Amino acid sequence: MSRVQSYLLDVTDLKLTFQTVEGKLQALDNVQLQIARGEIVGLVGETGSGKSVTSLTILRVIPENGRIERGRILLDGNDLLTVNEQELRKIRGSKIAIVFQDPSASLNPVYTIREQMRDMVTSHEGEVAALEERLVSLLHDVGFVQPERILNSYPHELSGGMQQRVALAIALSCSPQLLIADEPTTALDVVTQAQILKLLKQIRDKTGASILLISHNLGVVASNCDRVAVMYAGTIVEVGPTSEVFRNPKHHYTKGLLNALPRKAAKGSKLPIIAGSIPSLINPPSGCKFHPRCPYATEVCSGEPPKLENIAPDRLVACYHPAGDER
Amino acid sequence: MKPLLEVVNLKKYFTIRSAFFRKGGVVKAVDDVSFSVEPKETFGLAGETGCGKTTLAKCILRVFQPTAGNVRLDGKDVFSLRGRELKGARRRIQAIFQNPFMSLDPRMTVQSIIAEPLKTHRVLPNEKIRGRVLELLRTVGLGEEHVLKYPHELSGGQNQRVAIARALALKPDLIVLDEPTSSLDVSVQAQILNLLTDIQEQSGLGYLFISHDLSVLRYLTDKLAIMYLGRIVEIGPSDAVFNNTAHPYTKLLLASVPEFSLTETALSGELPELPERFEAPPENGCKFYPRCQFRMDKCKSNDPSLYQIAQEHYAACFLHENKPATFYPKPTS
Amino acid sequence: MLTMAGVAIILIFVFVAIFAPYLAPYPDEGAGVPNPPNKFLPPSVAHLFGTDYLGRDVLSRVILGSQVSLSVAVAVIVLAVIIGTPLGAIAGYLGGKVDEVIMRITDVFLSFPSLLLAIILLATLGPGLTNAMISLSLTWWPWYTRIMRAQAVSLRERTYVEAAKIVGVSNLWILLRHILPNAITPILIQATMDMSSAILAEAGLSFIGLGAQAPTPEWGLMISTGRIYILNYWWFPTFPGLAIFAIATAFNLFGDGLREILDPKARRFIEA
Repeated sequence: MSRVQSYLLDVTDLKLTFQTVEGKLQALDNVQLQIARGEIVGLVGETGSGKSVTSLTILRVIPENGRIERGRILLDGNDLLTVNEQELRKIRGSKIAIVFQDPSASLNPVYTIREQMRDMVTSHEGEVAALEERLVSLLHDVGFVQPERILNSYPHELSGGMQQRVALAIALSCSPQLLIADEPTTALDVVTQAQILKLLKQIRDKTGASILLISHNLGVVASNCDRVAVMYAGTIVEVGPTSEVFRNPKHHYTKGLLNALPRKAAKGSKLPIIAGSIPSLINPPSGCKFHPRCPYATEVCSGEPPKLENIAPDRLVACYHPAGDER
Repeated sequence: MKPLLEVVNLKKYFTIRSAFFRKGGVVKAVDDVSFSVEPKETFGLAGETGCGKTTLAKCILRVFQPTAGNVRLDGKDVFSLRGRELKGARRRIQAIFQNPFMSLDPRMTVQSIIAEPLKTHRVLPNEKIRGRVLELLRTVGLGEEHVLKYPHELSGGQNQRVAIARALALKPDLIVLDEPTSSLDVSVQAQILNLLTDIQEQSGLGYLFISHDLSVLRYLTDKLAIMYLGRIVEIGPSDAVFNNTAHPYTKLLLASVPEFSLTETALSGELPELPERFEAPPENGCKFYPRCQFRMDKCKSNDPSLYQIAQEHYAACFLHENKPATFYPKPTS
Repeated sequence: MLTMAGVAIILIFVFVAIFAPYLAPYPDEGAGVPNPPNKFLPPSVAHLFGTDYLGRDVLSRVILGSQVSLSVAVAVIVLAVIIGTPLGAIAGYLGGKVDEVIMRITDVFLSFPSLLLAIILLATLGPGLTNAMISLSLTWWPWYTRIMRAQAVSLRERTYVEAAKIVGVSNLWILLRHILPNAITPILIQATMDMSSAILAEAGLSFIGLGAQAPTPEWGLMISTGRIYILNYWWFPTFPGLAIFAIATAFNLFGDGLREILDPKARRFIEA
């Protein structure tokens, strides 16, 4: 991999477990993720893959029964796992901001948009001169042509797409270096979704912020991300430039996932499926977590888990038998 | 061949009573919709939230009483049936819903859930019910080990299979599926879609498949109708709708789908400006007028009917006005 | 784990209530047979709780009183639930006119202070334990109707209820099979909490003379007859009072704990 001088976000060897009634849940195991400045990286996976947990772990917003057992999360060189609570609070919102799936859950229904945006800014920067101008400009940045009207509104007066744009504006209000968007368009209609995704790209172009775009929708990730990381059962199994990973997947899970999409299937034909089902994270399979379902698994796959390694410049796979080049 | 299901000029209006801070008014959830589904056909219904597809489905399933219009099953008007006859008619149309966890009673075992339709309609003597339940479970790819489980003990995909087994219990002729795979993972979705295809091959039933996922619709459906604000704006064989798109709204939908899902080349069509506040659709004009990039003056004051583009392919747009306007479908008198 | 303490106390009382005649050291006195020579004896080994104004062993009276209090309380709650729950289910599920009629009747009952209503009913029916039980049930059922109605209103919108309708299931079946079992949790919790209120209410009615009549061993009645002696012969009204306090608190703790156990689990279903 052409190692960029320094990544904005460099996560290595992250291991997160949850203590549950039924046992220890291995939520994240050996997670590695690098995001360069100004890059849009997609994180893709199904239920239980750990993609949302990853973003919360980066922000260290973990429920009580969770424990980070190992790992390093470097933001601009600083290890977030060693930083104290006060520092962390300064980082959340201002260096790293997050937007969630349901905008109506992140907006307080009893305050106007202006009040909420103002609270966000002042809580990080104290009193700010020319606040109103700043809010107006933020709303312009997310595509509003009449910011005044929006500032005076309450969340319920806005449509879902508009609420999400406001949530974006709030997230951007302190000029974060990294914006995490966790399923930002899943609750929105197809057309609005497309517009919001286009907006994310514009934000990156304008502010140079990096974006971590998390989604279970491969299409969303494919058309909007520079690079993509595929997650399965708490580990990253494949990373690379988006078009390459989707055109030429190296990990058999990625291949299986792409084949299961109806996009290319002829009508009346059967969709190829991945045998088996997503494993329990309390008693995960040994070695490669995907091996019980993998048609190419051999003995070595159930021993030591494969490491995420380069098989080409800028391409990482965690597999002992990565797929050959096919088209 | 007589159509299996005919929806004729269906309307469902909801009146909102005016309250302190709320104006009263009428919401035209379904506004004059007509189409038909042939036996063994998969008919797709697409649209965004609020287009009325779910309300339409509920009218067909007789969960709602329509404001006007007819739903005919094998030529017979379903809504005029009452009591025992209605109960009998219910056996022929069943439903599968989006959220498998919500569509199954959390306090009932898989056995009870699947047996319920059988017991309600007294299809089988009690001793035979267990056998039939096992048979149905096998059809959907589950087994005896699942019989005494509760929904929360099963995964989303498994629950949806139970829901499918329940829907099949009465050997219906038509199943209405409302976003059946939207809350499932991609890999699970593939399994369920395969299962649905298998079942259709084996038992020859028809599907009314409601979804917002255009790639699934393109893969699965024979005919497709696109709904917008309570109306059908385009309808036809799904290949025709996808390859020879006629209505501007359909074009907008296709342009919005992440390119990847449909083809691997970018689809043409610029996305319109992000909306601030939608202008309300004009009183007498085309409902899509405020968002349409092809709009003309006449669209503001006239409401287009469904014009015929090609064999069985119709679109409600003045761009195609020079084509003959026909009532779709032809009424079976 | 206060809940466990509550459960333990409840179990002790239930055990005592079931085996009262065998546990009471002086069962006859407990039932009411007077023993005048022994009156006003302070607590001692022979009489752990002392004796009352008629020479009866207070411990025995308290033990036998547990039978009365618990059985009456249970009967009141059970009756109230049996009357109130179906009404609420029907009102909530069917809505419309049926709902209006039932809820207006419920509102009428609810607009009276419940104890006052019980007293009025008792005045009409005449004092006595059975009548106290009936009048308390009659004042209590509306709360269950309210709870059940709210549950039914929210449950009737559930997808699985809709699915059942599409299958062709009858309304009665839906109420019995789908609505009631899923609504039972708040009813159960309320019933548990109400146990303590029922015990207190029943004791209160007896205290003012409208409930249990002498010589029935009933805690409220014992406090009532004993209150004039509280300064000189404190044990006489105090121990029954402590018993009421203990069982009422125990039910409260149990009810709170029950809510904790039942609700989060229910929430887990929905969030899945």
